[in-house]
Amino acid sequence: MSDGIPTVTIVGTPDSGFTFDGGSSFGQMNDGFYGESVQSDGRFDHLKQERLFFFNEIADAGGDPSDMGGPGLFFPTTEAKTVHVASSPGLNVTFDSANADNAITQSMATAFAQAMKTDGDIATVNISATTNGHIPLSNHGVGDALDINYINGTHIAQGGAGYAVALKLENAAKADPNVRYVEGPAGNFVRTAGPGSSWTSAPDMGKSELTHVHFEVFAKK
Amino acid sequence: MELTSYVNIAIIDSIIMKNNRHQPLKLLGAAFLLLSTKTAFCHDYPEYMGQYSNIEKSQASSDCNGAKINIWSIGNHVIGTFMLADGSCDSLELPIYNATLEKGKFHFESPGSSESIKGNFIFDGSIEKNAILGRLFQRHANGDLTEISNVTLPKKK
Repeated sequence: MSDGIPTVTIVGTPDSGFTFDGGSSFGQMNDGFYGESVQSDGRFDHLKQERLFFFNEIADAGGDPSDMGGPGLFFPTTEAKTVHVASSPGLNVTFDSANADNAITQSMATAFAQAMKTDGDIATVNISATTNGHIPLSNHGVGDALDINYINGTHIAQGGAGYAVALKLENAAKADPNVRYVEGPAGNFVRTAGPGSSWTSAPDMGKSELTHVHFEVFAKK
Repeated sequence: MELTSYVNIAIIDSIIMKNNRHQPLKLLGAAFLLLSTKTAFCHDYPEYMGQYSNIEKSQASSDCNGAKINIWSIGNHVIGTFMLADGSCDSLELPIYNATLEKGKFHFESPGSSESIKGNFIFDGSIEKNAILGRLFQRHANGDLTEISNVTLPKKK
């Protein structure tokens, strides 16, 4: 466990079923039983239980729960980080600071451009994170993810105008078959069966409110 | 006792000497001395009031979400830093200004998270025993306000 985030190791395949090792007495994942989730100090670990519940839903739906990603489960890519996101005709791209203007993969840059094209109402977008502020061994770290915190000058928010722009951006990102995971105030969504597969709602597994939209692409193999 | 208090005593002694037949003025002078002395003894160095934060990492994206406030009091003034974690885990801690703390009601402003976006953040809420509660707004360059979130920031031990 690091940074207070429960770590769950998933073992198995869709054919054999999945088991997992979370340091507690968990059972077979896709048989509807996932045991007790009790920490060493005796407290019930709600975060871990919620995460496991979601994994179980993925497995029941025939997906591979290890495709969920997240801490310790990032997807290495064969792509290099070669592209800086830049403004284009009709779209002004800015960053929180120069610290955020780092190179990302061509796949991520293409998905970003596609989302901006899908939602034709976006004139300005501000990026809070490319590879900055994340560990190297994460989907951000390898250049396959972006965080956006302002659209058309309005900060992403839980309600009102900031929520409306977040909803539009999340929908635009989901329209791209190569986007794997979307997270924001309008909901968290994951594709677990490859590019273009259907979206599964991912639960909100945190307590803090989301004030940005994150989206990432499938890693190149 | 600081220099200002000695000056106050000298001034009040002078007043009392000149008006020694006026008892009410003597009392007024004594009260003034007490108030002045108390003021002189108020700390004029920053006194840490604490850190309040609900920042956490998303389990799925490893993004950071939430907000963090560090505040100090200097006499009747409040200074501090504010950070809105909106994706990156290394967002800048921004200075707060126009901060007021009266009867638990807490207000401050800070620059926005992006160097490129004109406008700022405004916080209106309260400081409770173990948390800061309130609403965070974005003030746009044209003065319009839009709410970003309701925040509850537990005090860090």
